[in-house]
Amino acid sequence: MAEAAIELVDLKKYFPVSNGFGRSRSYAKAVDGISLTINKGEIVGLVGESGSGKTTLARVILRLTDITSGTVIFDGVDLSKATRAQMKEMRTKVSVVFQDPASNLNPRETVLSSIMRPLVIHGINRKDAKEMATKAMSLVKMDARYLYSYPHQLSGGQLQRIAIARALVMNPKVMILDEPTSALDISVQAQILNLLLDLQEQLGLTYLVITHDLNVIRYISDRIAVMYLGRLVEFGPTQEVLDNPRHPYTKGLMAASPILNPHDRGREKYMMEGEPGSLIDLPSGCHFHPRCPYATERCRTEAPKDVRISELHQVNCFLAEKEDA
Amino acid sequence: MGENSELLRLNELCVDYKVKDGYLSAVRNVSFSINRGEIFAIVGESGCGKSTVAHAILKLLPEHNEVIRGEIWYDGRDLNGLSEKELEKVRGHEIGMIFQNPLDSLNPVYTTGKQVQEGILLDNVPKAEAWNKVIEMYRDVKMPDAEKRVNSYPHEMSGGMRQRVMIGMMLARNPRLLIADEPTTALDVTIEAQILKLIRELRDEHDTAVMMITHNFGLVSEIADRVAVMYAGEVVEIGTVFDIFDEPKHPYTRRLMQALPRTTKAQGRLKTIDGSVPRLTNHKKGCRFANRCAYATERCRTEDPPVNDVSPSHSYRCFSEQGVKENG
Amino acid sequence: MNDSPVREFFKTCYKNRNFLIGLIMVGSVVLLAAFADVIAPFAYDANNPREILQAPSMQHWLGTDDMGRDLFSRIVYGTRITLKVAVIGAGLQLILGVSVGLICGYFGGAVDKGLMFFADLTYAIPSMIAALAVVTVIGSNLTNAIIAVAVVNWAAYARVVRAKTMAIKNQAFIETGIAFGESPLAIMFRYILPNIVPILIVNISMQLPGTIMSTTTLSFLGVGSQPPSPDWGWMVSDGIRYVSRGPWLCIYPGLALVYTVFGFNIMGEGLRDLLDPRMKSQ
Repeated sequence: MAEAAIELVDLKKYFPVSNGFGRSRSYAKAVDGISLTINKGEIVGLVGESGSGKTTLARVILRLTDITSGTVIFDGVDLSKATRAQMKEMRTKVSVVFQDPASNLNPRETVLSSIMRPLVIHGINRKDAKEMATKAMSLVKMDARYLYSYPHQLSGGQLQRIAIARALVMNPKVMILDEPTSALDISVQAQILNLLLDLQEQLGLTYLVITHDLNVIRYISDRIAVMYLGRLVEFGPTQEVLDNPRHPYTKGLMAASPILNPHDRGREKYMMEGEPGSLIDLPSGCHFHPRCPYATERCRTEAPKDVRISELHQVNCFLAEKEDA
Repeated sequence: MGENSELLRLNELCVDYKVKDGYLSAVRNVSFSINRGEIFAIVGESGCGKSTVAHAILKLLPEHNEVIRGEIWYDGRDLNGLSEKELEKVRGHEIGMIFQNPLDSLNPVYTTGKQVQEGILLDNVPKAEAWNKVIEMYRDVKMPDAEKRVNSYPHEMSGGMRQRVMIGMMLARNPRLLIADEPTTALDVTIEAQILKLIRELRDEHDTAVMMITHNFGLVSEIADRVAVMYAGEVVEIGTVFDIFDEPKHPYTRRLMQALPRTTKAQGRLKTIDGSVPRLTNHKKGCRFANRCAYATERCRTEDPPVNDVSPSHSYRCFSEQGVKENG
Repeated sequence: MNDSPVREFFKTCYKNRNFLIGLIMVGSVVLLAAFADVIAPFAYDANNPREILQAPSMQHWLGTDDMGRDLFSRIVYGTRITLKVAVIGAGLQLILGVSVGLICGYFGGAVDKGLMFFADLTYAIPSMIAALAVVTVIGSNLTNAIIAVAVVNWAAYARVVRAKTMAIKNQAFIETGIAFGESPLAIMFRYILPNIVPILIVNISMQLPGTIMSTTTLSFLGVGSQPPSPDWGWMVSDGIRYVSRGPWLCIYPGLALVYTVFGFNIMGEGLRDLLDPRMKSQ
């Protein structure tokens, strides 16, 4: 049995929405009861469209924002009840790389000072910190002379390597990568994906990769999690989910994603109609029912439960229930 | 498919930018043609000059320090020789253009319907009739709730709806060529698929040619009939979408195809292209990919490579006559 | 590539004329202030009833005033007052404005609403009247006048800093910083503030003339510098009484004021470019 790196249990994050007259009762339910377990040493890809709450989920796990309810368990510690010391410890073990290479680093600091900073805050003396920063640079295959550059002097690919170096410098166990290659060109994207895979094997890291690009997810991840309007609709082994998607939304998302083979363009396509709804004005029952061709009366009134169709594969749909029975 | 009749032909198009120490050659010797009703994609990485080509056709380059040389034949006229006044008639009327971020192209203080109507009124159509045309147009671009959406302001719409408005605004003038500069880059994949479907349908119904500028090979393989691959201001390879994906000849195209994440990590690492794009000074001869090419010889660095034809539809710019054999 | 810092400095100065000219202008004022005792031929308060309202001459380069005091000497000593007003005034306003702006922009919510209420209040009351009220309460002298002007004018900085903070705090490098354990104080002063400095400097150069003028006005109204102190503004308004018999009495202190304010202005503009690392490498 695999050991859990991060465990989310019925995690919720609601943002109060002001209606213009101060406080009101409505909420944007960006994360609406998500349970999932990421095992040590695996790469989980999280996909969803904008407004699906995938980035909020990452921010909640990183505790950049408070939890509304539910728990995040990291290394056996429940972060919603963690002490100050435990939180500080957690900050060294989970790191993050965001999408935009240009805003990932403080424009006013040199690369060296940016990479050293996490070490300095956690009480490592500057001499050791400098040495560790230099080591981190060689891990991401960057020449040490760039340590004295400012971010604006570097290319997107170089900046992303440096952001990865900074994320690695504390020796973390888990890395959260929010669209790590979306802003990059194809040839640079390939370099960064290769680098991430090399580092993961070399250092035994666990990744949560958030992206909207199914091609990237297929290439890099072991398991794939699909989010739609704050809920996890499907979670399972990448190949299994992509070959045989069980949730209607996963099917639609895959059909919509551009394939990289022109011979497949004539394929029968199930085109999803309409636009994703808003997190503020959520549909009743299953959040996907207004766009779902298979929606029944039950879907409109009742929220489906996660159905486990194999040990590692779960689907949040009544259809899976039936097929399974 | 009807017979191939040429709508646009670029002949040795060059765009130089004046910079402090001389000229920067952003686009060099670009030649290709687009037929009526054809979807033609220009694909390349950032800074390859694909957007500059599109903007140069309509003289919409923002800097005003550029020099455009070469011929831009559109329907029997050289656009490069037209006056600003004559160009205004071509822009929007015969050649429409949509951009990555429609919010920048829409005026926030008027309803989107009014803005589309404005374009139609330029053709001396009575007001009421124009308004009906607007509603019809919204239906044509598959706008949900067309009758209500004509009264929406840009900020009340989603990115997908705004792009539909832009496409509608262009089509209201019945252009024969639509230049689309990264039209779906800011959109989610499900919305992107809808917009691509819309563009394909419009091509089928109105025989509009589409010039699609993109960095996204997925999009190219979904929608393009023919493709030009650009690198460092030059077209390195042109062919049908199948030529490019199945039998890329130029070392750059080949490498790019192997850098696409089409496999899984179990099948091995992706191929990468080391090094970076050289500084594009215009007086320098030689292949611009030479510094990153595994097959480069001394000749590649000193002489401009010729254009080789593989078939009538497929050509590439390289000294190697058979194209590179295997991945290096 | 490996220039010494000194050469580097002169090279950037050469490329950045604004900064160079501004530096020379402000530098000359600073030098005058530092060596006033050496440069000025007379004391600033040396009355001479026999030489009142004399036109510029070899002995009195810029003439004398209604009490026979040497105008050139008074202007030279006046640099000290102007610099004091500029440095202390801007400093006080910055400390107040930047702290409030950072706190409001970073935390938002009730803290923001509460503090910005005070900032808005300073806009609602005519500033001269408010400043007069403050000086009346804390007592009439130059330092108190500077404080009064600061109390009335800090809000402009607070607003700029608040708006900038709100824009910067959503950038990825701030979130990454929090994610690896930065404290709010470090985020505000290490991450946000350095990115605001260029716009602050522009604002300082825009605000300085107003600060100098307001303080000067308070002096004129009798609640700032007290005679015989050689405050330029006070000298201008005092000289207006003799504008037909001794026009030099308002012209020269006025020119000195313009010179100094202009110097600060273009130095600020140059400094903004210099402090931007994006400009440095070009």
